[in-house]
Amino acid sequence: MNEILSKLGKEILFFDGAMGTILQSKGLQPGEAPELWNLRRPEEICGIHASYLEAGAQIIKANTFGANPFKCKENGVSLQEVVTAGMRLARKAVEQVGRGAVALDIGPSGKLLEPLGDLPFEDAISAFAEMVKAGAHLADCILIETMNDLYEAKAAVLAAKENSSLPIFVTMTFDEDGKLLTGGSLQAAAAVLEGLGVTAMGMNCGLGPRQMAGLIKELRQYTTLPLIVNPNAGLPKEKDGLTYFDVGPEEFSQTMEEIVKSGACVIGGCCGTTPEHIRQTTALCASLPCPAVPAEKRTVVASGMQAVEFGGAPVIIGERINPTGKSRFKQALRENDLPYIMSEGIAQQDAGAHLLDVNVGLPEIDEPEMMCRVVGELQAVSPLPLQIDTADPETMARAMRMYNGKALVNSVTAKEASMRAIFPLVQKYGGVVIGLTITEEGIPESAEGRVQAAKRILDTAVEYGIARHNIIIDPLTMAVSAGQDAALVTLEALRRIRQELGVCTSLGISNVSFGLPQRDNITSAFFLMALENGLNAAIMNPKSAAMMQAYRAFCALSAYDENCMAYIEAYTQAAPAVAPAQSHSYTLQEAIEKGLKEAASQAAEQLIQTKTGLELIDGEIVPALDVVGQKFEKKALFLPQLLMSAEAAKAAFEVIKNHLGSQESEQSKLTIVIATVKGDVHDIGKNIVKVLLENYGFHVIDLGKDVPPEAVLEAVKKENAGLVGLSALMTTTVASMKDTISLLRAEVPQCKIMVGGAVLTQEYADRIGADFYGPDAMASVRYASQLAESLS
Amino acid sequence: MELDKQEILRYLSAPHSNETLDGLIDRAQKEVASAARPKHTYRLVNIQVKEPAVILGSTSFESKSLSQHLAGCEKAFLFACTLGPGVDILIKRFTIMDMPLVPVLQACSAAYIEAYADKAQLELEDYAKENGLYLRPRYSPGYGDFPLASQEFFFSALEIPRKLGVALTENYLMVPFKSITAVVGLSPDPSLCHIHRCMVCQAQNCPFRKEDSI
Repeated sequence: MNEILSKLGKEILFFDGAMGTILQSKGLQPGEAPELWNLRRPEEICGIHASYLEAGAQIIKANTFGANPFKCKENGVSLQEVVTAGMRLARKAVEQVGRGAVALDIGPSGKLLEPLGDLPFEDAISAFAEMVKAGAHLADCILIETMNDLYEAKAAVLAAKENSSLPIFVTMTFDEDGKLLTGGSLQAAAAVLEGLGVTAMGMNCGLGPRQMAGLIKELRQYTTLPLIVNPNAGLPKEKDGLTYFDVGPEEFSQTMEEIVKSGACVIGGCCGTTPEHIRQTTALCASLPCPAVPAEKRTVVASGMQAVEFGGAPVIIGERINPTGKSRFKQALRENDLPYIMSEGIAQQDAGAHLLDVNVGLPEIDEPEMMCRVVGELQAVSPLPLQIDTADPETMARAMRMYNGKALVNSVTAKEASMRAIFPLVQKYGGVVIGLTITEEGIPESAEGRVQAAKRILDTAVEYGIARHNIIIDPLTMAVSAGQDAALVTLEALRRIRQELGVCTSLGISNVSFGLPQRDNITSAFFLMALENGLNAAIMNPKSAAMMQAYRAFCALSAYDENCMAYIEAYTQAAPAVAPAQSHSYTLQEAIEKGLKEAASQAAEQLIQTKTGLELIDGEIVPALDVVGQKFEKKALFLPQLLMSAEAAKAAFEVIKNHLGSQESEQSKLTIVIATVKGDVHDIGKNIVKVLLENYGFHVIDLGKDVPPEAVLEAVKKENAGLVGLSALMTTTVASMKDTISLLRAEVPQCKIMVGGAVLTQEYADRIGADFYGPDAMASVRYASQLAESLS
Repeated sequence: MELDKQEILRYLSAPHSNETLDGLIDRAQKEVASAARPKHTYRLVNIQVKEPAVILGSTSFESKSLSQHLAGCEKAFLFACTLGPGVDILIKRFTIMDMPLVPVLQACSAAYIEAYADKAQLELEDYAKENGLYLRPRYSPGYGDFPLASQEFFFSALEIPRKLGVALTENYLMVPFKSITAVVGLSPDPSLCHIHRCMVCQAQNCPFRKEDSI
């Protein structure tokens, strides 16, 4: 390792200051990429590096910040050339001055990762890997900086780890509340980066030293890593329409001294700082001692948004995303019904879960693929950290790699093979792993046996470089109906593991009541007993009222709920459930017309006792939807109400389906494939059309957004679809709508095509050869209905 | 922030409200307000207008409509703002859990970002007043014949990914969706500065076009 970097954590080390703002003062034009000056004005770049080294900087950031493949392509330059030139200029300055280390500087890609943006996670890794491959051989360390999305930071770290053995420094940009632009928290960033095994972490840009001084105190509590702080020269100010920074070298250096005392040991500057800022800072801080790191190690998991800590208030891990014993869930997995799986996750979040367990193991599906899809979608709609739950090491490896955060890993056992498969993954990607006290001989019957198994897991983890605080032990809940002292053994093991081994614990609670009636009685009582014996986390159903009552009462009684606020909030409004009186007075038709889901469901329940499903559909549901459709067309009611009626109709359909348990209710004479075309990522309009079509009884295959023409064609052929609905929002993407239509016309001429979207008009639709243009969602339903009629 | 109810209704294609809609709009406004973390940035550039081209800073754009819009200006602000990823996530969430609210959330967030941009623009207004200049209405890539590909310039010149956390897709769409980029001309002559942004648009049959804003 470079001599300077070997002093990391022992002495205060100094980064250089700004490059971009200095280049601006030397004439860099708005929109001109700073890294282009590596080729255009190399002597300027080398000179700036040298002036920082002379001012006392020890690590200089090569001018490669924005030289990622996307930017280089946009600027029409070779990445290899720009990065190599930037690295060489930094090396040259080090040679000239006679000392210094060079960081390959990697900034954000400028892209947003899927599923919110359009950059696949693996593509992000490859993009950063190109920079690493181009520059690492000339670097002493890699600095991944100005990151405002933890997910992107993870991609960059993996690229650095997999393509070099250099020390990796990561600094992220927080706002004054300690949040990333994506909303991620300080503690989440600390947990994820420490889990990934970076050398040092911290913050840069966005804020001045004053604002960072407060944040660094907080960050210091969350990690034992060396902390890096590279602030701007104050908050940006505006004068004459231009941005400037006004914290001078003296004030800057004084605040940096405070920052060192608050916990940082690598410091420098970002936007607006100059060699003089660095000179005064090194003069003031070089002889300061390195601040102490916290001794206490925390057991923390995190999503890209928030962290959850074990060891304080007990943690609830929602268990409902799991096919075991749930036929509806199995059906959703088989049919790729992601929205159903997402809704299970969100409902648990709303019910009070702190983490979500994700188990999609079903013999007939591609488990790794499904796990990654579910994890990807869930992490885009819920801020809760996830517990990846699989027995398949391949699924575990792929999910841990693409997970946006530091996952809870479920699980290892004390069996050699299990630990050998899982621990290396935790070592590489970070994570807290649940250790089940199961040995090669099975589940130890005694508490002592389970404590010994736990010890074996902890000892083996250390051999793999996994710290003790990243292990949670689960001493296994057994059914009390199968063994009189089953619960007592578990509780004793739990108590002893807490006391003797000092690690956190978890239990899957529900199993205790297996085989007994009114299971919640037993489960919730056992839950309380386990909490009283030191349980830190429970895998349970947060939608169970009894379990949540036990949990909230325990927290209130155990001083985990300040002023009982959470308890009060949960139960004050829950007046005894009075069924809304009026709901009984609505007919099914009325309920649908008014868009009342519950009432429609109740009315359908009553009617189905005396009538057939078909009578309900033809006599009540279809007429109601017709009335609503007409009112919408006359502007007597509007889109949200149309959707409410559609959802009420859906509730009635569900009742009929459940009652018949057969296909009798299946209305679809027509299968419709819908998609937002390639290049377009706006899918709100398409989703609205989908809901309406489904609730009018059509069989709808939704291909999602950014769908290539070939994928539409494939689905049409596979599903034998009679109609395709295409959506595009922008004029630029109407072109790919036209391509899709051309392909369909050539390959499946019998299939009809309808189009919609903000920029489309009848004229436009005619020009690109669509059969029908739907100016609103209802129009597409009318067209589909006509088509279905003409087919039957 | 106070949102214009008429504006929200217009986005919903509803000429008037009713009790149900009122309730939904109230709910959606609260959801959007708590999910949004709005941010903005801007930068003053010198411009040259030579119809049909406009030079912003040192980059030239072919656009007849933009050159007409900026006629008489020698400076302009490049401006960008976003509501942040929270609103996209909110809409995704309701798409799964409660679809009827989705178009209302969409309408409220559209009204929200317009209102936020207007408010943020007061800072530009201050600069204009001090210098005896007037602001032209915001003009965005994709309006008229101002190519959407010009987004790349705004993203570099304003460092939008770094400052606002907004990214461009391959086809120049912005994510998070509720984001605006625009150029705001500075003119010594107030006469072209009160035209509503709708009326400079070529899309004569746009359902959102305001009839009464000439």
